[in-house]
Amino acid sequence: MKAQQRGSTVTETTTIPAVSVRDVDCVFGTHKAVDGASFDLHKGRFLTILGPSGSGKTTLLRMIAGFERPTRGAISINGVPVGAAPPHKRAIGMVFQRLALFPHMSAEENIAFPLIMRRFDARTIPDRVARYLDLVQLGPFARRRIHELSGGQQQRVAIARALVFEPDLLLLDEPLAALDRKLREEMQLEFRRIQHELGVTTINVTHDQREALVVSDEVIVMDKGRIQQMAPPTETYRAPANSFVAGFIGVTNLIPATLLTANGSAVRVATPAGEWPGTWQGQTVPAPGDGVTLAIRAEKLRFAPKDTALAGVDHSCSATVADLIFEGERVVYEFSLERAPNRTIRIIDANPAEHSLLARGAHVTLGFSAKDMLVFPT
Amino acid sequence: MPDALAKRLIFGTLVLLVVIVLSLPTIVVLGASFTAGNIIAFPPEGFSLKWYEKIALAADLRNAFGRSLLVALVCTLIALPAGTLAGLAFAKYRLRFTTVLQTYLLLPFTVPLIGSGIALMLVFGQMRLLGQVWPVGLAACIINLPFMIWAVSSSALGLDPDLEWAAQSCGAPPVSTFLYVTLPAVMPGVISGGLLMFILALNEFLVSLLLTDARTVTLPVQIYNSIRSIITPDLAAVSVVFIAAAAFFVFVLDRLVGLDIFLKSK
Ligand SMILES: Nc1ncnc2c1ncn2[C@@H]1O[C@H](COP(=O)(O)OP(=O)(O)OP(=O)(O)O)[C@@H](O)[C@H]1O
Ligand SMILES: [Mg+2]
Repeated sequence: MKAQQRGSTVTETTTIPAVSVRDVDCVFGTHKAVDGASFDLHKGRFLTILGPSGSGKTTLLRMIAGFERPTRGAISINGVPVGAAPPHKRAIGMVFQRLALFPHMSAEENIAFPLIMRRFDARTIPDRVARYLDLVQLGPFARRRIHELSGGQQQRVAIARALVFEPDLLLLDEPLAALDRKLREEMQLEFRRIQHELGVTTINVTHDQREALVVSDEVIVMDKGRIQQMAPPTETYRAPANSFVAGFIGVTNLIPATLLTANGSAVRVATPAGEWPGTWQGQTVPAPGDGVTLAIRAEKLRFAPKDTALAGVDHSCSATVADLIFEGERVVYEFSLERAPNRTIRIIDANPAEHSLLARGAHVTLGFSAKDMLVFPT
Repeated sequence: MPDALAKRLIFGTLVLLVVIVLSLPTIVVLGASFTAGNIIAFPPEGFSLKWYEKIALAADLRNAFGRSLLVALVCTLIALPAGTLAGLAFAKYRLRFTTVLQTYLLLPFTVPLIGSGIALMLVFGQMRLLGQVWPVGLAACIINLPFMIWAVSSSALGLDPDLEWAAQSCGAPPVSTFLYVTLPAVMPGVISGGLLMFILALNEFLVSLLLTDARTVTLPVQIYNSIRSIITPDLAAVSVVFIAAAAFFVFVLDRLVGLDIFLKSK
C-alpha cells in the first residue's frame, strides 16, 4: 500500500480527502488566531498557505500536527478524525521553521531517529536511511554532525527526516524563510521534485507569494485567522475572491471608491480621480451608493507619453511620473494622478530594454481596460 | 601600519600580564612544594619530594582528602538530577517564573556564605545530622546549585524551541523525547555543571568549617587547622595535589565534551 503510493501522480484522487478541516477555531485568551477554517485536501496534492504575519498560518498547521488543540471544529486525516491524538501517534512528517534538527546526532542518525521511534524493522533501517540520503543528495555527508553542514544541507536533512517514515502528510512551516533568495528558489524546486517523486500530500506555509505560485497545486490565502480563498495558483492570481487577496498577490493598486451605476457586471464607480468604469466581482448584486474597492494589477495598466493616443482602452487619464524603481528585468513606475495628486498608481513595465525610460516629472497618459478594473464590495 | 603594530604590542603585553598574574600563585605554590628546606619559601631551597612523601604518609590529611572526595561526590550526585531538571524547567518556562528564579540564581552572590553556613548548621543540628560527612555534601549542593542550574539552562536556551516537537513528530512519546533528545542535547551543560559542582564541593571551605568536627573534617578545613599551628611546605604540597585534581577534572571535561563547546555559542 505504501509502495503504491510512491510515484502516484497528482491527478489521482480518492473520494476521502487526505486532510479535512471542518469549522476549526483556535482561541488564545480572547484572541481568535484561527477563525472558522474549513478545507479539504486530496491525496498527493501540494497546498500552500499564504498570508501576512499573525494571520494564523502556523497555528492552523500546529493543529493539524497535533501540537495545538482546536477550540472548536474537527480535523480528519484520511477520513479518520484525529481528535485528541497526541502528535507522536499521528503519521505526520514536519519540517520546522528553524529546522529543529537534533544537534547531538549526525545527519544519518537524525534521519534514522523516526524509524527507530516508529519501530521499523532494525534490519531495514540502514538501507532506508541510505535511500533517503540519496533522495536529498546528501550521500557523502551522512556522518557529519549537524553543525558541520551548510544551511542548504541542513534543510535537506530536515526534509529527509520528515519523509523517511513515509508519512500520510508532510507539513512545512516556512522552512525556507531564513535562506537567501537563490538558495531558497533552488530548494523550492527541490521540494517540488521530491514531492512529485514521492507523491506525498503536502501543506506548506510561506510568506513568499512567488513560492506559493511556483510550487503549489492549491493556494490558501489567510488573513486575520480566516481563510480568504482556496484555489489553484492561476485562479488565485486571475480571479481573486476579494480585495484582500487581490491586494496580497502581485503588485496591485487598490483604490477606495463609491458605486455609481450597475448594468450586469459592468459598473461605473466614483474614485478620487473622477468616474471610472469597472467589472463587478462580488457575489451579491451591486447597489449604487455602496463603498467599493477598485483593484487594478500593476501589469494590466498601460501608459504613453502625454498626447499620444492609446488604442483599445476603455478609460484614460493624465498623470506624472512620481518615482521609478529600476529592477533590471522590469521597471516599476509610480504615477501621481493629475486629478488626485496624492494618489499614486503603480505600473510595471516588463520590457524596459525596448524603449527609453521616462524621467521623474514626465507627463503621461494612463490607459485602463474595464475588464482589468476589478470592483469588490468593501 | 605602525598603529596596528602598537595595538598588537599593547594587546600582547596585556595578555602576558594577565597570564602571569593568574598563574603566579600556582607557580609559587608549585615551586615551594619542592623545597628541600623546612619553611615555605620561593624560590625553593634545593629540590626534594620529601614534603610529598610526608603528606602521603600523613593519615589525617589522607583521610581528610577522602572525606572531601566523598563530599564532592554526594554534592554532584544530588546536583545532577536536581540541577538538570530545574535548569530545563527554567529554560522552558522562563516566562512564568523569571523574577523568582533569577533572584534565586543570584543568591550565592547576595547571601554571605557565613550566613548560609550558620543557617545550615542550625537546621542540620536540629535534624541531628551533624557529625556525619554526607550532610556537608548536601550543604555544598544547596549553596552551589544555582551554578548547575545556570550551566544546564544556558545550554537549553541555546536549543531550538521546537526541538521536542520535532522529536514528537518523529514518533517519540514524551519519555523517549526526554531521554533521546532533550537530555543528550543539554548534555554539555549537564557535564560542565556537574564537574563545576564537584570542584566547588571539593574546595568548599567556609561552610565545611561550620559543619564539621574533628571526626568529619574535610581537606580545606584540615589545611586551615594546620596553618594555625605552623606553616610548613607540606601545605604547599597539599595545594599542588589539589590543583592537580582540579586540572584533572578540566582535562576530563575537555575529553568528554570538548572545551570548545563552551567557547562556541552552539
Ligand atoms: N501560544 C500562543 N498564545 C497566544 N497567542 C498566540 C499563540 N500562538 C499564536 N498566537 C497568536 O495567534 C496569532 C496567529 O499566530 P500564528 O503564529 O499562527 O501566525 P502566522 O500566520 O504563523 O504568522 P507568521 O507569518 O509571523 O509566522 C498571532 O496574533 C499570535 O500572536
Ligand atoms: Mg508562523
